[in-house]
Amino acid sequence: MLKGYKGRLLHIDLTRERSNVVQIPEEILRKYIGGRGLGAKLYWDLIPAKADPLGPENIMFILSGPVGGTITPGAGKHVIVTKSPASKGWLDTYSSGRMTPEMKFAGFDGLVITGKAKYPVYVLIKDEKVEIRDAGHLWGKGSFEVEAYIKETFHPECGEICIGPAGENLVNFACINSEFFRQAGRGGAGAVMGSKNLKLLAVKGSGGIQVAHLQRLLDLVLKHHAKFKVSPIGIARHRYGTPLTYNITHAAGMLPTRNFKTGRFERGLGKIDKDGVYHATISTRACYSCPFLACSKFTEVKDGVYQGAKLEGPEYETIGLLGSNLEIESLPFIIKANYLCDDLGMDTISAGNVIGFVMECFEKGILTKKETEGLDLRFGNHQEAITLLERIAYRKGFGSFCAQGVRAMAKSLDRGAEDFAMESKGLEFPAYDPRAGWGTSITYSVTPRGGCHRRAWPPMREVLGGVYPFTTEGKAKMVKELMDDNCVMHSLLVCDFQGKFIPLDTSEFAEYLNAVTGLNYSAKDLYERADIIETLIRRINLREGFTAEDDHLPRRILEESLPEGPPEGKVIGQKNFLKMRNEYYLVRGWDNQGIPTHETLSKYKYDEEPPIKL
Amino acid sequence: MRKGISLKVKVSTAGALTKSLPNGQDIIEGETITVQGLLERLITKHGPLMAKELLHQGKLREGLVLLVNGMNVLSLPEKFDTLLKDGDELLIAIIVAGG
Repeated sequence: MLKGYKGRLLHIDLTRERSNVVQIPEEILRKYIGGRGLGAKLYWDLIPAKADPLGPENIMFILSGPVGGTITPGAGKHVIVTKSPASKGWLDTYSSGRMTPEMKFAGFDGLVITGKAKYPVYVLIKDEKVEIRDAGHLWGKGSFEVEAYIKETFHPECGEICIGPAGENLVNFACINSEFFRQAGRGGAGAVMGSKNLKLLAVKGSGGIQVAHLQRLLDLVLKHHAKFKVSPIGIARHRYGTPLTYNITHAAGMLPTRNFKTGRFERGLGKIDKDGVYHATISTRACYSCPFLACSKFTEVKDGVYQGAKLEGPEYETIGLLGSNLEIESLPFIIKANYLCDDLGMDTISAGNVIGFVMECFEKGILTKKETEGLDLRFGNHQEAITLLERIAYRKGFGSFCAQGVRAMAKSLDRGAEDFAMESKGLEFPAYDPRAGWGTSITYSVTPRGGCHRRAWPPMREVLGGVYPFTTEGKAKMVKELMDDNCVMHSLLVCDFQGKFIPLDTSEFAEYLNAVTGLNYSAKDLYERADIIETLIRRINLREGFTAEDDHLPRRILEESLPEGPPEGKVIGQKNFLKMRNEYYLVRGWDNQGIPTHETLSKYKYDEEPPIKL
Repeated sequence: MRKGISLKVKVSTAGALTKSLPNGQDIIEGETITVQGLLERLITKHGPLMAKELLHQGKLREGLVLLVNGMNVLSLPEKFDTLLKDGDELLIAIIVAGG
């Protein structure tokens, strides 16, 4: 057996209140690596096509990667793979904390959660022992109280995931929390967990992880730590964290402002950017197995209406969507709203999009105070935004309408609202306007989970790398390369940031994989696997009924221009968009409808794989 | 504008030049000037610490990015030879990676 892996999954059937161990064939681990890749294989084999995302037939896979739990930089990530209530298709959503190491110490590469409990429960896993307990006393509680409870009553160093009230109430963008302030935020995985009546899951293991070449692993970590210590990128990241991105995207004209109507927010400079957050920072925190960045910032509101609010964050995405996108330059509001989202269990990216969409509808008269039940939801009105967040989580009145997410809201409202509903496949956009760098339009459209910045981050090339942003030339190939880089990282399950800030490339990640597992993979081997994985995920969505029509963007992005900065006056246009999209299909080995060709399927021999059975 | 000065360029930083330009802002005044010329002016004005933080072997230090009115200087046709105009804004930043 390969080192690093455990070669086993723990299956917990909530309907039958039973558990069993599932073996993973070594050839599957060699082919799919782990994390996202293993999740693709499991989804394909085990989630029935057209399953109701919120029905008992949906499955949650909580997975580690081969280097997880070791000293590999940034190896404290886990991924939750399931069918998304937002997109009705593939979802992979990532977080960090102790889940991955503790699952491995308990003897498993991951957990498989099937069925639905008869009543609210929580699950405790201690090595191979599984207990399903009544969660009546936890149901309705905020995430922080639940996390504190389990750390105090089970084990202070357990791995744990839980949902807040939004997950219980099946909010379309409910997240899954871990390790206080860490979220698998995107795509509504929290609603899937809520639909299973599962409030909390915790795991503690007493074993270890065998590493094939320990000295090689130590040497790699020391070498890269030395490299990081003199890297100006790493030093700045440690100092400012992700809010530094605000200053770049503002300058480039890609910062979402007024529901993506404009791309710059001058009023936010010095208040909600790197300097604003830096001055509010009281301490920093690193993730498990990150001796490098400690890029997370604890902030505190010292006075005013939100005095006393404290938070690990806010991160850039939250600042973009709950700040500039709502035309709110109040950092205290963002800290408070971020805290509420975390505690109630909602994704801040989607929540910010939903409120921005509502504010634009309010401005256009599509929504009035009658529909919003008295809420004066003009851009900039932060106090009303706070009230709306709470109503969404508890599905109170108008809040329940908003809990559906932007796509369903726009469809229901009609009157042209779909033109400015900032989503793709039902997943609301992150904080980068594709009109300021056209590669992002491919990413947001073809990404299997919907509008997503973690499949690939084209601003790395189009803003920071000197690739001309306003052309179609070379963009499909560029996006594929970026996606394959991230697919490798998300299958090894390491943090994206190590690769960019130490920095490390795919051949260096291969060295970590080889040192831990005993494999002898090159960067080329890993890229081939990335293509196998992304093509299998494409097949999953096709099986769910997706077509090329689903790889689309709202009219605002394709037909309107931004009013200032570099993208001023430039329109992507349907023709350019379709050209880039078709070129992307082509470089993946898919036909012009986005269907993998016979040659591609034959090359990857999916049909020759042994199926995984529970 | 004072006599002999035909342009003012605003320089700001994001995560870069933290020692040589601690307040993160500067104004460079002059007559015709290119991006490269402006970098040299910054070094003349702020001394060897600026040179160390800004350049390596005469080129922009690895890990830094230079945006001219929001556009990466490497995306501009004339790159570092681009002539600056009055009111132009330069952002010298550290490479970031999303959020």
